[in-house]
Amino acid sequence: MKLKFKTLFLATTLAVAFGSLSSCSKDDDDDHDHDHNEQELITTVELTLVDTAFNVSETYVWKDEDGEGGNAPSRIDTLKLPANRNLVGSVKFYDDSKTPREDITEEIIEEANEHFVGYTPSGGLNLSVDVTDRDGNNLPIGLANVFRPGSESAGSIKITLKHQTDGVKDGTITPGETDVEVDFPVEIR
Amino acid sequence: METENKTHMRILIIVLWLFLGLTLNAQNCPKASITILVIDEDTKLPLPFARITNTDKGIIKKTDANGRVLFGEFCANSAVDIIATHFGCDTFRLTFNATNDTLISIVLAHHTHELASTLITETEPHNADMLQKSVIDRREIQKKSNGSFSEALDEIAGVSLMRTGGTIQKPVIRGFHSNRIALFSNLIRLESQSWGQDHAPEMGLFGYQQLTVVKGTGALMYAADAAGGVVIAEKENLNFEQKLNGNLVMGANSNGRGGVVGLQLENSYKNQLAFRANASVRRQGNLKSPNYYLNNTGLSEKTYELGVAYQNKNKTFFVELLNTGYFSDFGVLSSAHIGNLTDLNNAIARGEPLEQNGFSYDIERPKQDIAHYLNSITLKKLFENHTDLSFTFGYQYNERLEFDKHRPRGSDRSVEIAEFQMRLTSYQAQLNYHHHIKEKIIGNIGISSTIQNNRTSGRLFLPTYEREVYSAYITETYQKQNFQIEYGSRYDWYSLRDFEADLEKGEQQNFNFGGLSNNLSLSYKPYSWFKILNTYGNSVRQPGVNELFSNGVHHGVAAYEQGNRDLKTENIYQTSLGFYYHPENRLSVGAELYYQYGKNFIYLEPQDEPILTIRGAFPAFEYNQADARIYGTDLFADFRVSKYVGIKSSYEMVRTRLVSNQRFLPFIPADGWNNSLYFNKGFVDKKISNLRVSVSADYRFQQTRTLMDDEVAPPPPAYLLLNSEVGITIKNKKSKNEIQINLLINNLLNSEYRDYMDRLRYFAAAPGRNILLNVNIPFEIALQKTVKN
Repeated sequence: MKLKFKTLFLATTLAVAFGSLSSCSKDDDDDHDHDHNEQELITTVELTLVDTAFNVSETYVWKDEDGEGGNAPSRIDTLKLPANRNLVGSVKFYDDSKTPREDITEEIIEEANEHFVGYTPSGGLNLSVDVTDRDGNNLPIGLANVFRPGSESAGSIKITLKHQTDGVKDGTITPGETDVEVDFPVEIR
Repeated sequence: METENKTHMRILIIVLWLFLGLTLNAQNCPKASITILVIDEDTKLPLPFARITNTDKGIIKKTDANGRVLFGEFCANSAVDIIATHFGCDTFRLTFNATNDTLISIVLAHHTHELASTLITETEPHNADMLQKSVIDRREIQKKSNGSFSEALDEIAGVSLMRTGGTIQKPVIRGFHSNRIALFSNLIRLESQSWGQDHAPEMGLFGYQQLTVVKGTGALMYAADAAGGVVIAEKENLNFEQKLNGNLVMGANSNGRGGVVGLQLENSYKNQLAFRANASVRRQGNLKSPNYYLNNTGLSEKTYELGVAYQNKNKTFFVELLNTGYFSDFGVLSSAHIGNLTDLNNAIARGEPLEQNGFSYDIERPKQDIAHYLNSITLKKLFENHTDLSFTFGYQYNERLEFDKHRPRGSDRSVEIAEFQMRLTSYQAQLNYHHHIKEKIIGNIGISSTIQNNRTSGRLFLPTYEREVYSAYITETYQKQNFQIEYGSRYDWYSLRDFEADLEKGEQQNFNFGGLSNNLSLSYKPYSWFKILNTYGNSVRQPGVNELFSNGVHHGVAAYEQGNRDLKTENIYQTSLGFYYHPENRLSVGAELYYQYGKNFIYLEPQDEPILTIRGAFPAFEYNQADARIYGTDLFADFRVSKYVGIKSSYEMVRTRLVSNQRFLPFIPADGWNNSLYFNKGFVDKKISNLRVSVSADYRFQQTRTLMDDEVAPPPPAYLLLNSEVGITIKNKKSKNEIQINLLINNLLNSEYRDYMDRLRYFAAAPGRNILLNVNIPFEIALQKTVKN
């Protein structure tokens, strides 16, 4: 009887101890570094405008190297646009926290049905932007566009990248989650 | 009488500490307060340290130096079973029906097999002892089986809930939450990511028999940094005497089409070994507010527990091993995961979620996946002079994965990667000596330590850190006639190391904090119908890791939160005054007033300049400290109109101000006024032994005490919710087991409302009507024994 008692106690103790150990095993790694590298950030917006009449192109950069949080943006270019001209534009998004840099634009094109890039000029700035590309549902994407600066003025243009899943994309900037929202200062001369 | 058998009485108290306390019972029925007096048959003198148990409510108490114990409040006219343990070997059982407040005298004989008893009934006035302690008993927990751990606590006056939609809740006690509340499972502090406003306690409700909120002196044995209070969730002690038995809980609820099943089995062997195994599963799909489904608000919660305990033959030594697990997946309302302030303003302007995809059980992004393991070993030695020494060692592992609405860019689509991951490992040890000085002064003295490390990966918000805590405490109680005094002190020393500190920039890597917390409580009961309780104390808290280090965007609220590495310890001075008036059995009135002065009180301060990020500009908040006043009152009254019908009412209010500029502190619950009309009747010798019916009206005022600058949208208007419940108890003739069946209807009128303390109030209305049914069936399994010749 004594033996049976001891065996039973031992068996149960082992069962509980084993249960405890199985839950510890996940944590045997003594690494103290914060691992931020497993996911991509959007750190950089590059807007390229081509003046087709003269075949001159200019690229403007908005850069926040560590993404949201951490350090402040490191580069915000000012758009210097000629008055009353049409400029063919394209916008690209990059992750510059990696080497080599990752082009996020490709993924946006792959999931064009869920993305929208909107352009909102500030009041007083004589600028209109037309989106020229379309997704599978014939809704605008916004990666390709035409900038139409008017008469001399100054202000800023807000470029917004929206992630619009679950069929909420309607060709406007309102629905969805904002992935990027940057303001470029603009001078039209 | 056999005088040679006059051995010392040895009583086993498994894992329970004596707290004399005012029990604010949340149950709706006319109350009878039971006081028990144990008398030694030989000497005719009161017998201290006798252990009295009620398994139904899960109360275990022991008698004081005068042989008395205020056992608790029970529903009048319903059968109460008590078990008195004496000598450690035999148990004495008694069943009675109390109609009024009752004093029960039990006369126990010394020798082992001749237990005699006499039952004397006399009217004993409400003998509410001191110390602020509120209890949710087992019957209440059973009633709340369909819900979360926090929802059960909400029953206590002064406790309200902070919500993240309909699925994630955490308790707020007198305006304090998160870092200022400590949660305990038995003796082990739950070490988790409790700092987050959207981080629910990593505990299920199943398997717990009692939830207690302790403030003041009693709390210092557990923690000093919890100015709001210490919440102790107690599991039933492993029982060395019962045969194979179990408990089955089943529940279903209409809103979310949810259900819960829990099963517990217990057994014991030779009165020396006890075993327990339990598991529960809770599942729920999308909730529905009165006019639309709330997309992605499902949840899945699973718990288990394995336990084994051993005691030696003379019951003076005890070992307990526990292994518990908690796993949950919470869906977060999909429209609530926004990119920036523009999105938030769009959502507020829209008024209701854009995504309304109807009902589904699927839990999609955004969501939280949580796993929590708690393992402990407790050793306890009882000494002949009724003192005991216990040692507890705990190991906990907490894993929190938070998934944003969208998969990380560039990630492999077949693998689910969490954008934010935290893994917290904690080791705890506590040594406690429960002692008395000539049976007049009773108390606890002990030391404890915690060592933990947190590893984070993914989005930048909190660094990887290591933390150590070393503490020493003492709490003592002295009672003489109508006067009781309690005193407690606790010293905590903390050390914190930030592994991601930017040393080149001169950021501090090692942080040390320390402080002494004290409490003094006085209770005076000049008349049988009147009592005053007065407490003084201070509570020292080290800055939390989020308050020091956080750096990033909170997606639900579009706010940029920045920690402050210069924070010092916070010290909250508290005083409270309670009046309890109980002129006759029909009426009971109480008022508790409290005033707290937070020296270097840590709060989130709105900044003038927004933070510019690639995702747009975010309103910025930085943790700061300043002196603040937090004061308020809890009022309650219970009036019995007739023998079976009564009215109950309670009112809670909290006020806050910063001392320097008179600003209100953010995120403080508005005043609440709860009223209920109840009917409660017990039946003798009927199959149904108790019937309870109640209707309640809970009114929540509008929070007007906020600074509009801090709010993205005005606080929602006041609202009134009607709820109703019916509960019956069925007595099983063969065994003493009681089957409980409860039917509850929450938000009876399906009212559309939003609560100020709900972080998702900007995006959608709160869930509508919910009909809940639950059944609790205890059972015994008779095993056929084959006898070998």
